Amino acid sequence: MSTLLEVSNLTKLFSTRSSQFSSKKAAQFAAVEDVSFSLNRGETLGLVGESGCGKTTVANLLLKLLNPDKGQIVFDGEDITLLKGYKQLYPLRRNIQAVFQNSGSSLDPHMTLGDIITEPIRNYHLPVKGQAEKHLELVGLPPEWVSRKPHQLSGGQRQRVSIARAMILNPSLLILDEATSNLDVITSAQIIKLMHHLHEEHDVAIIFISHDISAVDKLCMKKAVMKDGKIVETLDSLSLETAKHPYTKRLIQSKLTVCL
Amino acid sequence: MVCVTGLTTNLSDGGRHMSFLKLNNVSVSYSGNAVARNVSFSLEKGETLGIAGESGCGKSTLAKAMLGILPKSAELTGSIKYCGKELVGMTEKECSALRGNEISMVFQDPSAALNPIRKIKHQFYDIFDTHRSDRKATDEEIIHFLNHVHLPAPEQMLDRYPTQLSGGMKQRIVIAMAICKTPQLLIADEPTSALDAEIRLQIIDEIVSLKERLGFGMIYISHNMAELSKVADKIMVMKNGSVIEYKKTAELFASPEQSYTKELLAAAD
Repeated sequence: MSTLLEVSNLTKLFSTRSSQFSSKKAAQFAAVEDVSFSLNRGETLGLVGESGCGKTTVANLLLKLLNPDKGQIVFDGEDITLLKGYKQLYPLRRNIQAVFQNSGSSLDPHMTLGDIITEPIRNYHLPVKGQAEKHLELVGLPPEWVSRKPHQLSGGQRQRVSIARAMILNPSLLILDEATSNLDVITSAQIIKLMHHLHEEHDVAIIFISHDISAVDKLCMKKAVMKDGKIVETLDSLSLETAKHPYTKRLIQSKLTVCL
Repeated sequence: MVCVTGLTTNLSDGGRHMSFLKLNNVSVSYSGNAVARNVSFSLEKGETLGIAGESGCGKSTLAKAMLGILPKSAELTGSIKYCGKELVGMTEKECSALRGNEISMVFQDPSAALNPIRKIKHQFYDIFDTHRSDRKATDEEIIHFLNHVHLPAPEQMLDRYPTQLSGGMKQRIVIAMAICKTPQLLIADEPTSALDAEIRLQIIDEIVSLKERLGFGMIYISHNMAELSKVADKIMVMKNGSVIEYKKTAELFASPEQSYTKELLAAAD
């Protein structure tokens, strides 16, 4: 398997304000510090950790929604660390797609599902005909729903639409940022099953960001545990036997199990 | 859809004594669309009922009906009896006398439950109806309740704004606010679903230990069966507004009857 993504010593600093109502910058803190990992084509990596540990910042750096202060991101053999502006990022965005946590805010309420799903291919001037129906079917929704609007759908159905939109460009990397966190347990299990299926059928590499270690365990081959902006441990299975770092062990122990 | 309205008889004594809380054929609808249909159950003091089901199945609507905070557009029918008092049809004044004092609620999102531009102590003063003269005594009382939910350095919390606190801290404060008038019934509506795994487990333990210490009855709403197994004495499973299964917790886990309950239990593994 060839390497798709190589991240080395990635660091992102943010400024804090001296008080809640002040605009003065007081200090800098590292939201992401010295993060390194690699991902092969078709591989799945889970990024787990508590809120505020820097998982989403890593996603935003990979998606080039933020620029790093230090470090390097090599995607598909190309150094993308310093790419900026529409022209430079246009070819890259076709290959890296994302699904975010809140499907309610990531879908335009005025657009139909058909327009939402085909927007990426229209941006790349690719043939549109029949694509919306095909991709609705791909994510398990009826193709005749193309003319529906997001408010007519449940949270799980909206998340399926987000996945269809992300998959329509056939990306080589899909970043799921807490994509199942807003869903109930059954819907979340269905979305994970769908991602499994898409991963196997389309050979897309996935970075799955979540604080739910059960979800990460079900979907991902490799798991990286983050704390305070750093990756403290990378492992194949989230079990107490294999975990070495005390934080990983605590995280595994916090998994909810049936207790009668 | 199987609508199981008669299930209360399995778990109660058939109505020989006055229940602490008893719902009989409660239905809630908006413009003719039923959100909760013929829900019946009873709860004794000190007991915990878990309500499970997917988003939109009517769990939270039921909680709001018990608190008397349904929007005016909702049509509520049936009977909700709390310590013999009928809550359906109560005036807003009568309902607000019960809310907080007798029946209290912890909501899912602590950030939405707290006013972001008011200090924590001021939000407690509102609950205690504190006047400027007796704030010192109230501060001590607030610290007492913040200690109850094991918040570190509670005296430092008084002057903080919600935005300066983590999600877990905010939920502990919301729980402290819910119990500070020593209510007899606590309704917890998905109190941990906005929290991280580690904090979630701490909050569940906190709620269980508070219930044991203070002895209130509790209705705990969650879509996670593993979470309900830790807190509930009996569980009611809802789907599309109807109760489809209602059993003692151990019994439900040992022999679920409905396929939807089985799916919920499978997702908890």
